[in-house]
Amino acid sequence: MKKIIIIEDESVLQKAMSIELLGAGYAVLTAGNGEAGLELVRKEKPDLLLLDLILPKMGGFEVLSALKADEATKNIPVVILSNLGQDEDKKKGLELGAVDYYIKASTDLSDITKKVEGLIGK
Amino acid sequence: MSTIRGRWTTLVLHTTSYVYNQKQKLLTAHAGKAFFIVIGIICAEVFLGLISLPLYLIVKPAGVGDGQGSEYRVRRVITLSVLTAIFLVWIVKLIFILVLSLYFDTRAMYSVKETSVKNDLSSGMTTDIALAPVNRALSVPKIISVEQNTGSAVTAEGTSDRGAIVGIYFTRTDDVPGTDGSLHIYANTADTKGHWTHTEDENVFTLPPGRYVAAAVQYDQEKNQKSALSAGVDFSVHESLLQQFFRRLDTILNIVVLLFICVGVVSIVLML
Repeated sequence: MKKIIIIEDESVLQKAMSIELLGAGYAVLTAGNGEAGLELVRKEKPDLLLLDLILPKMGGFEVLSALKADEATKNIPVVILSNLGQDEDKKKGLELGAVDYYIKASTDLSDITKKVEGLIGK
Repeated sequence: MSTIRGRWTTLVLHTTSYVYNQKQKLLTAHAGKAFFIVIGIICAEVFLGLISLPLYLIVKPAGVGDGQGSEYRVRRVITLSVLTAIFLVWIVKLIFILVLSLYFDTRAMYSVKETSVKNDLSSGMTTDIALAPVNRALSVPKIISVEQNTGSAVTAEGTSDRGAIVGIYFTRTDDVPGTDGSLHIYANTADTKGHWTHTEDENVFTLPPGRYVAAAVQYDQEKNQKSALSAGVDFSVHESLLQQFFRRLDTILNIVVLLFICVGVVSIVLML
């Protein structure tokens, strides 16, 4: 079973995304802040990371930079799901190595599931 | 099933996003607008709490970090407080409607109070006037005016024989269930010029809002007789906006709760 890590500080959203991905047949792990999330990714080596940007302790961009700078984790595909909807945020996220960038207010969670399936299969 | 799940989780996603965006707006909003934003945030938080409660029952993903942070606790407290308050209010209402009616006759749930005013002659006087036979030879008093004061008290003014005892009748004329034919009788004494004034004591009793007719009789205490009824004067007792609001508070709260539930249901249906 493919493993996905969600780094999201909003507890209710963590659970909503978990339900969606568990329903699609993935194993899901979650972290509530950037620091714990980075540690979890390094330890678990997931097949994909779903990353929020506004996080306690360590921001999403920092987490992404750290992962891409690490040989062991740089190939893990990262999908950003954030409230930040400015073009420069999106551009920055993609430049740092995210495979896609979704804005929460205009995203359907099933689209993310389809994207995940397209990236890592079932 | 997966479609319903997807719509539901997306609704949670969009609601959290709405809350976030409103909080961002709050940072730059001025007083008036900020107030409405805060109200909007509270409503959205309660709505989010309601739609996300099942999430906490059906999924326990393995997680680390601050996932169960202070924001979640605040949201849960808000949601559970509102739900508890609504639940208690409805339970109390159910007790009144279902339980009390088993032990009391429905009409017994309405009590009729003895009313008195500070310028009432005596507690038994109004009963004497009501029961006294009519003597058409007695002078009939006249009502000059009936007015509602700034508060809710009513003042009636009129003339009669000098120093006469006057009985003042206020009879409800509008068709309101439970109040049909309600009659309030007061007694007062005319001054040496034959002028009398009767004002309700707001601390004791005032007429409920509605339409009334006022009339008066002159009472001969020695013979225990009263005159014919004077010509009636129609008047209305009005409520202030604040009084209307408090009288309808229960209805307003129920409508708010219903609207809240409807918005939730419609939102979910639209998402489906």
